[in-house]
Amino acid sequence: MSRRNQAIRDRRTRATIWMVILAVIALIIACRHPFIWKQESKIAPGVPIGLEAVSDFLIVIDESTFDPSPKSFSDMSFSLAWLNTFQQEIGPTSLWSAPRFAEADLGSTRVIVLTQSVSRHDDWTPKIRGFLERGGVVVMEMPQGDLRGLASPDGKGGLRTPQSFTFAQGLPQDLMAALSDLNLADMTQIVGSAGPLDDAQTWLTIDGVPVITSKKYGAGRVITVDFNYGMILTALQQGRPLDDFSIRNVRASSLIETEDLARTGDTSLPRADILERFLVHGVINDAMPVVGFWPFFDGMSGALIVSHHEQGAGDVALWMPQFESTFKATSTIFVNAPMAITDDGLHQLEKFQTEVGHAFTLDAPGTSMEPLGWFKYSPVWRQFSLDQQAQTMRDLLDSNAMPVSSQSRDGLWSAHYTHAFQRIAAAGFRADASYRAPEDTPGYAFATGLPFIPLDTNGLVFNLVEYPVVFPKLETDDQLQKLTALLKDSESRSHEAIGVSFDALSYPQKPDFKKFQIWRDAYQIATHHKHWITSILNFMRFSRARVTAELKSRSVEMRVANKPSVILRLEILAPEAGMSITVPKFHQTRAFAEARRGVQRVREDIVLADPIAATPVSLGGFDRILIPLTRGFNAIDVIYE
Amino acid sequence: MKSDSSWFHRFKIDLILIAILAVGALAWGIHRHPFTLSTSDPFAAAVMPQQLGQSSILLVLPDNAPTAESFPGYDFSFAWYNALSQTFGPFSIALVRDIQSAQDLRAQLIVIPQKTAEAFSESQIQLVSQAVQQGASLVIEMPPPEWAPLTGTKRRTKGSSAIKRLTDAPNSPLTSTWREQLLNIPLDTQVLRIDSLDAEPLSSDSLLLEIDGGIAHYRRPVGAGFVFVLAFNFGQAVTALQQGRPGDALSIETEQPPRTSDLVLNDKMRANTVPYADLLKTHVFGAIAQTTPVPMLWPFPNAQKAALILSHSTGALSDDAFLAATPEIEAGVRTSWFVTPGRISPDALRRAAEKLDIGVSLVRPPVGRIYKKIGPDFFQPVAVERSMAEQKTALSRSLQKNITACKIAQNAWSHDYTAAFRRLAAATCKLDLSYGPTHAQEFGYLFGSGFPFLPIEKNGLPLSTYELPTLIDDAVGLETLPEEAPIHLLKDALNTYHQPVTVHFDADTMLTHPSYLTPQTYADLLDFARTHDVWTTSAEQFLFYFTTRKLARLLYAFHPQSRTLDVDANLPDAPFDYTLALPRRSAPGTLHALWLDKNSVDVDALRPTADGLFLLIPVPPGAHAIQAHYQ
Repeated sequence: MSRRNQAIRDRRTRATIWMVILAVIALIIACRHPFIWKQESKIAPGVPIGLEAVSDFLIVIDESTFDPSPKSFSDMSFSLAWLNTFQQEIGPTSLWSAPRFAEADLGSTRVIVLTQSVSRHDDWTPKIRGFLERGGVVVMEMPQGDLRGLASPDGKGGLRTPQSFTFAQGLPQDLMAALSDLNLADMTQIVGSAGPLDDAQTWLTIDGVPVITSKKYGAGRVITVDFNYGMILTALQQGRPLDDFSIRNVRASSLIETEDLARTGDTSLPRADILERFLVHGVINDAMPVVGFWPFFDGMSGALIVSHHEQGAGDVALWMPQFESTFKATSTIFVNAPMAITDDGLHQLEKFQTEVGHAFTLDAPGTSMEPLGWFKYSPVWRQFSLDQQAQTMRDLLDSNAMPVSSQSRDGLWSAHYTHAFQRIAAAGFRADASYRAPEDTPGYAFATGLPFIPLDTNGLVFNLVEYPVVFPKLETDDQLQKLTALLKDSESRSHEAIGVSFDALSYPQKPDFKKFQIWRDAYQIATHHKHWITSILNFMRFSRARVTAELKSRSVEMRVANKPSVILRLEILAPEAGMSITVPKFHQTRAFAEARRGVQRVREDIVLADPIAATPVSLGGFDRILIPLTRGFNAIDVIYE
Repeated sequence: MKSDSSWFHRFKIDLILIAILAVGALAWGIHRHPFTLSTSDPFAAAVMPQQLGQSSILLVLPDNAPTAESFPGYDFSFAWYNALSQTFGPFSIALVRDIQSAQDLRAQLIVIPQKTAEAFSESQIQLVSQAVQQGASLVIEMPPPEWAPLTGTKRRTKGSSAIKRLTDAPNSPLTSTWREQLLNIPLDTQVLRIDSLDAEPLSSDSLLLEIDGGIAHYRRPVGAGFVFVLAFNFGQAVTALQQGRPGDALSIETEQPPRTSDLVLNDKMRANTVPYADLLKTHVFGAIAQTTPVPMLWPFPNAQKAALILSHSTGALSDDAFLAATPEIEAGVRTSWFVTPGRISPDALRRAAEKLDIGVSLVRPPVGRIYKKIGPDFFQPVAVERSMAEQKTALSRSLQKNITACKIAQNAWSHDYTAAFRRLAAATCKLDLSYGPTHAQEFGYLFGSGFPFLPIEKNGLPLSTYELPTLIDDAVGLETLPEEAPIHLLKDALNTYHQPVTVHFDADTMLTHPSYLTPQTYADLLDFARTHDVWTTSAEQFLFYFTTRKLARLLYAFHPQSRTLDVDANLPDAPFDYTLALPRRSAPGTLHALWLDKNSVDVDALRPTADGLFLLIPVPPGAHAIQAHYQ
């Protein structure tokens, strides 16, 4: 072999040897810092919805007017947000699309809400007029054309960008102050008018402009809502993104969290609920007595919806549900995928009646991954998509224990307003608890503690309910103090569901006894303030029973025990035990006297059944009477003298 | 060959570089996983302890004893040493060979264990007889026939090692409830079969205890004094309970690596709420106080009636472990913290030591091993296992303070009955807390007492490490215990048995046995102790009081004519008041007047013990003259 050939061969051999060595080193480095292969999640956009309920209330929408791809947040249709108001405050509510409404008989309806999406339906004017003349109540959101001409201000001032609420008739001063604090500039639009409407009552003003007025029409009443009510409600509850639907990080972090969507400032009062209750129990109730299902089991004052983080620790995280089971409370434990809880642990959770939810991750690196290749050493790891994470959990659970609830780990969210909801819905979850207040300023960051149905940008709803977490962490005296204040307010007036999240690993890993004390005290304080300590699943079941229940009311004037009285006759179907209703304390200048089951008429007078133990409550500053129901059909006469 | 040689030559540089890379990788690997060298623990020998305090109670010990081959062959004389320490505090000791004249027996109460009694000569027995005739009380265990003039029985009786049962306690000083519990004591002892006395019939109030219907414990007046005869081996019975019962060959026979709870006398003791060993002691010594007033230094300071001794291990946690001490620190309570060397930073350790008492958690096989790496920080190819002594030394060094308390992780023990004690003694541990519950459902007085004791070596001498039994250990999983058991133990310790209740909570239990009952039980115990005047303290502080009171001088004399008990006490300087306990009632009458340093003390205002036998008098350190009048 020539010297040259030898040199060439040596170079090749040398190159091969060093290539192999470098390849081994590269492989070792790659295994220590693997490439993450992200999987695309399935997506389920918002879907249309229609509800046929036996109810006094009907919401009407026209999906054909919804822009499927709005260019900005303010171009979205928010008409379906009205559903949140009536499901939260009343329970059973019908929701009809425009074609259904055009053909339907309105005989069994007492209140019709014509949302902004149907504001141009001049052709419905005769039908609405007939309904009003028969004594119905019509709520119109930003009406136009002939509908506006029925009994609304002229609207000649056109659309305006508002600043703040300035007046609310009958609303307690501190609640009004809470509403006044809201900067409405990017939350809604109002319709200005050239002058006041004759014989109308002004209920609410924004920047001094009447935006809720009511006026008699025939035997009925027209309530005009001259601002985008759905938009403000959505901006408060679901959060306000930038106009292009992106979310701006308002903290010193590269990751988007749900708290970046909050727009309320002070979090001590549920401002969305204040507004909703003002509208329903203040404005509408003035036009007709509003009867609604109480949102909490057994007539309790509120709910403490408890959830825990499992953090991949497996059975170590079960000690909190273990304690809750000793006083018959329940909670939701959010578990990572792949699931580390053993079969024995799952059996225990079933015994404790603890709901197993899924703590998912959207894009966060280092979580929910599996190596591709050899055992746990691989240069490539696959990161599960949300639906794959959910599937790995479902594979390990019984068919009757499928996770219903989800929660984003650490509140991490998508950079787009609704992409995360689209993925959660596609993964098959029906409840989500990712919306959470900032840890350092807990409270009603999303203006409510009650669950709401989120809207997609196409104006349609997701097939899930969002449960905002009011206290994402509860470990300090200050946080406990704030919880105590909220519970106290909830017991006396605001009646809220307060979502509280406890980290089941925090105390075991850092055994500061204070954390344990605060956790235990939270339950005691909640019990003291008559709050139902429960899981998301239990609350959801109860809420579902509320909206599938039946409730019809009518007022009649007659003599009871030889006294002139007004009787509110109620026919109610309560599908679950522990349900209650509220009725107004005052009706047509008469005060609540008593409620009785199945009042029977004998000639001119009536024979009274035993009275029902009723309790006065204040709901957002409005006096009401809480009446317990029995499971099944209830015929109740509420007597006002 | 030539070709090969030239190949190596041509690739010499590459091969050198590859070799350097290989050596580097190998060194990195060895640094990460160094060669380990094992170490064995040294043993310490048991020695005769020095007399610490001085008292009118004299314990006479045998000059020497052969090393036992089996448990029944043990010399249990030092069980009396433990019993007197726990009950009376200070006492004097003497060896048999020291008893040469009446001067050597100048005591009000003479205690002679079985092996001592067997070693006494005729002349020495005569000296004891004279002392009793002049008014001393004698407690004698399983006396041989030579003691007949004092015991009233001279028949040579046969000893039996079969496990016996107490059948009656007709004149026991104990309350009726305690008497019932006394009869349930699991006994492992030898007995002398005595059916009746040779000298005279036993009077109706003299029989104190029966075993299987035979006489087991009786009282006999001799001259001006009394003789208390124990016809069973009290020392063996107490040792089998307190120190545990090995197999007859003095080994712990378990398939798994042994734990301390494998030493319990029987399975009934694994979940036991009655301190049986202390009931037996109270019966024996209470019978003496019932006959003649005897003062004692109560085992709790400031006239308190119970102690909650809180101990913790840092476990697998690092500096955060001490967060669990927050409630104790806030309450101004010093508690015991057992730290594994190397897991806690020196700064955190020093900060903790300012407010807590730091002990060492000893990690030894089969639980684990702790290594010390040898070499500079960047390359440590060898790791040497640390023995118990080295672990303690390492921790003491980082704390810059001598550590006295030890606890073996997971209560791991040796197959040999006393080997672990010898290792602890060699590591100069003054106190060990390894005796206690280890398995699920175990709690309470597994070893019949909450008081510390000196373990007895096979040669009958005590080892220098006090063993303080733990009653509650959360590592067993508190959910496996009856939910109220821990708080009931503490309540009973305060209101019934007057015991120290040592509880152990690992800082990492919520990671290993997570249950809400762990923090809840801890909080309940701490809260109860705080609100019920239970002395909440560390094992070290408790042992300090326990041993300091042994240094006291406590001389007493009872004058039958004036029915007056004179006590001359000299109590060592200490940051607490001692508690003097005097019999409330005795044969001469009821305590009705009391003077402390000539100042009258209101007897009715004194706190009584739960059994009503004693009144508790707080006495500050220093010299005191106490006079008690019985009527």
